[in-house]
Amino acid sequence: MFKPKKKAEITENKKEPYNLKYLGGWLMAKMAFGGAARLRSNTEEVNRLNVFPVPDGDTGDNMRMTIESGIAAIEDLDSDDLAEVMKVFSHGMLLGARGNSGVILSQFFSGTAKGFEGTDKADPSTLGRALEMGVKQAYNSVMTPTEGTILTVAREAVEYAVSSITPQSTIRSFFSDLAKEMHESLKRTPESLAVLKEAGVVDSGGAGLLYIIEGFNNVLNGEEVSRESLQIQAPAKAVSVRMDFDSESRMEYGYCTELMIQLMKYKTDVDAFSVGPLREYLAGIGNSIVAFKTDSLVKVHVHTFEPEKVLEYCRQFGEFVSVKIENMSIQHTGLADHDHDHDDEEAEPKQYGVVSVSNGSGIESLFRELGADEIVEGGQTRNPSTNDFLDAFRKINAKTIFVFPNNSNILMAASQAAELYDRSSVIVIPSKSIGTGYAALSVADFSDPDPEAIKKGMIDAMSSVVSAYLSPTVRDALINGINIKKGDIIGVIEKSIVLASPDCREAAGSLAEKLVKDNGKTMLTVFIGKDTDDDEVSDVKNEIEEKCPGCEIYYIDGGQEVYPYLFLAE
Amino acid sequence: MNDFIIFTDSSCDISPETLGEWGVSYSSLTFTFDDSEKQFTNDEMSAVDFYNKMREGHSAKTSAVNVESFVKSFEPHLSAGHDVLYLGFSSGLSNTYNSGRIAAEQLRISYPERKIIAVDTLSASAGFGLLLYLAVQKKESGASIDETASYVRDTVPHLCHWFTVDDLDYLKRGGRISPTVAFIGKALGIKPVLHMDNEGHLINMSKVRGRKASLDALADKYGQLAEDPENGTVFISNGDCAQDVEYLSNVLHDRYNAKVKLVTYVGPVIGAHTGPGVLALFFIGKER
Repeated sequence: MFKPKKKAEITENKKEPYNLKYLGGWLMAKMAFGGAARLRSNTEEVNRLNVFPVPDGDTGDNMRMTIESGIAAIEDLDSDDLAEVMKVFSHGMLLGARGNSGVILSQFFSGTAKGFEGTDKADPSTLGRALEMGVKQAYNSVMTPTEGTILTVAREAVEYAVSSITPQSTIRSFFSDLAKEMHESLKRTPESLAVLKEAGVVDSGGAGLLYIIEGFNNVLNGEEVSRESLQIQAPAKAVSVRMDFDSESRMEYGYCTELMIQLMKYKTDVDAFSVGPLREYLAGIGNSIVAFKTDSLVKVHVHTFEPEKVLEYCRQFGEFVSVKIENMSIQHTGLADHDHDHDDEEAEPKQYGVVSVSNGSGIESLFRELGADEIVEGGQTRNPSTNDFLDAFRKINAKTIFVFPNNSNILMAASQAAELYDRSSVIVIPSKSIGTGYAALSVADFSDPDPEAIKKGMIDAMSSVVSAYLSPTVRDALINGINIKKGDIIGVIEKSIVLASPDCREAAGSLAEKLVKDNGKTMLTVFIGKDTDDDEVSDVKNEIEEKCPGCEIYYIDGGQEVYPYLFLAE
Repeated sequence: MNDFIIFTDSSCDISPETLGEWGVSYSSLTFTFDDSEKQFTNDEMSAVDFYNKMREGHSAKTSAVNVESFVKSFEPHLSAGHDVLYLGFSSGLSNTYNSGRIAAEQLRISYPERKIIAVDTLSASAGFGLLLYLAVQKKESGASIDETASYVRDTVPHLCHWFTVDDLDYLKRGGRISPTVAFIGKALGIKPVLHMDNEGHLINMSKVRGRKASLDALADKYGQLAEDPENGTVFISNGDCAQDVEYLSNVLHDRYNAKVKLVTYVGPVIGAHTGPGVLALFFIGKER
C-alpha cells in the first residue's frame, strides 16, 4: 500500500485543492494511486466498450493490471524526486503491460518519465513537454498508429493542455484542461474510426486513460483515495520459505511427476502411438498435463496424488528413460535451494529457443511438438503481461529466442518484452492468431544457423495464410449489415464479421466456403475447441467437406477456449 | 565404330516398351510385400496395382540386382562382340550399381578385348531415365562408347531431381532420408521439398504448407535452376497422382513455356520408399 513517509507539503492542503505551481514526486505518486483507483472502479465500464459482440480481450482489465503493476513498483519508494518516481512507476508499468492498450499506456508513461529526467519537480510547461514526449513514444510504439484510439485521445488532450498554459497556470489547472479535452476527444473517436461508430461505442483505451487522468484530478482536488478501493495484488514472488514435510504433514499438493518413455516395438505400435488416450488417462488422475511424442519418445508431465498409477500405465507402452517424482510441498523449498537460472548460465546456450502463447491443452501440446520450449498461457480473453514473457525468456538458455504471440492484442506486450530482455536476442514473429503462429512454426528450419533466414521462412509461410474463427456472441449487434442476435454464432475472417447464424454447423460450412473460395485457397486447417461435442464436430466436418470440395483439409484437436472452431486457409 | 549397347536397370522407371525403342537392355530390381517371399519385378506388377496395395497398408521391400545376375545379362552382349556401357542406379540409394561394377570387373578378365564401362549415374527414377535418354541420343549421334560415357559423367552433376512426397513417413521408415530432417513431418499438411544431391542422396531442402505449395515449389526450382527453361528436356514421374502431374505441367508451361517430354510412374523400386503421391520433376540445370 502507498504510504507517504514524509508528509511534506501535500498534507498541509488536506481536503483543499492543490494549487501548486510544481509537481513533485510525492504528489505524483499519490496521483498515480488515485488514477489507478479511478480506473479500478470503472474497469467493467471500459471492458464493455467492446467493438465486437464476442467474449474478447478486456481493455479495462488490461489497463488496470498495467497501472497496478506501476503502483506496486512505487509502493515502497521513499522519494519526492519526480523523475525518480516516474521512472520507477513507468518501469513497473512496462513490465506489467498487458494487451495493446496496456502496452501503449506504459509507453505513454515511459516517454513522459523520460521527459522528466533530471527534474525533481515540474511546472506546467515542463509537465507539458514531458507529456508530449509521452505521446510521441506512445505513437512510436505502434507500427501503424490508428487515429480514433487512445493515441489520438492522449495527443489531442496534451496539445490542448499545453496550448492553454498561461503564467497563472497551476498543476491542477493543467490537469483539469487535460481531462476536459480528453473527454471531448474521446467523444470524437467514433468519427475517426468507423468500427467504433458502427458498434456505437467510444474507444476503450482512450476511456481507460481518461479514468486515470480523472483519478489524478481527484487527488489534486483534495479527494482522498480510499484504501479499500485499491487492493493491489503484489506480484508473485519466488517462494523462498522452507516448507518442511515431516511426519505431521498433510499431503496437500501431490507430486510433480515427469517421465520420459522410450516406446518399445514389442509393447506397442511405435509409429501409430498417439498421446490422446494417455492424456485422457492422466486427466482422470491429475492436472497440469503435458504429454507429447517426439519420434519414439514420449514426454509426460502431470501433477497427481497417484504417481504410481502414471508409472504403471505408461509402462504398458515402453520403458522409462527417466523418471522424476517430486513432492510438491517440498518442491517449493527446493526452489530456494536450487537456483535454476544459475544452472542455466553455466551450461552452453543452445542456438534457438521458442516461446509461444497458447490456450488449450491441445494447442499447447501442438506447439511443444513443433519445438516450443516455454508456453505463456493466454489468449483472447487473458492477455499475458510483458513480465510473463520475460519470465518465459529467463527459463530458456538460448542464443536466439523466437516468440509467437499468436494474437494481435498480445503482440505488443511480446515486442516490449523482447526489447527489455538482454540475455538473448529475441525475435518476435508477429503471429496474430494461433493458426498463423502454427503455420509459421511448422515450417521453421532450426538447422539453419541464420536466425534472420529462419524468420524470413516463417514470415513467408504466414503471408499466405488467412485466419478465421467462429465465436459465440454476448449481445445483439448490427455490424457490416449483419444482424446479430445474442447467442448467435458469428463467423469472422481476419477482423471482419462476415456471417451470423444460430446454427453452428451452417456457420462453419459457410465460413469455410467463403474463406477458401474468396481467397483462392487450397488447404484448410480446422482447430476444434474445448466446448464442442462429438456429434456436432462430426456434423461440422461433413458440412465443411461438402462446402469445400477438392480442398486439402486437416483437423486438429486444439482444445482452445472461447472459440469452438478456428480456421486457417492457405 | 560405335558398336556398343547401353545397359541399365529397372529403377530408371522407363517402360520396357520405350527401353526397347531406345535399344537399351536392362536388369530388374525386385520387390516383395510385407513378409512374403514372393518376388516381383516392375514388369510383373503395374504401378497402379502397386500403389493400391500400398494404400491398403501393405509395405514393400526392394532388393538390389546381384553380381551374378549382371554377369548373366552382360555376357551374351560381350560374346556377340558388343561393348557394354552400364548406367547404374545411384550408389547413394542402392547396391545395384556396385553389383554391376563388380560384374564388369569380373567380365573384363574373361573378355579382355571388350570394353565394359560402368557409370554411377547418382540418379534415380525418371531422372535416371532422362540421363539414359540423353545417352541414347548421344550414341545415335555417332558417339563412341568412351565419348558417350564421358558425356554421361559430365551430365550427372547437372541432372536435377526435385520432388515432393505426400506422406513423409515412408521415407523415414525406409531410412532413405537423414534423421536430422525427419522431424519435418510433424505438423499436419507439411510437405517436404526434396532433391537428390551430388552424391546421389535424398536431401530435404525445405518444407512448405500444403500439397499445392509443394508443387509450386518444384516449379520455382525449375525456374531457378533450369539451363534452358523453354527447350530443355523435362521428365516427370509420379506415384499415381495424375491430377497433380497435370497441375505441375500446366504451371511449368504457363510460367516458363516448358514442355514436359515424358511422364512415367515412379516404379515400385523407388515407390516402396516414397509411397503413393510422390511427384518428381527432372531436368538439366546449372547445378543439381
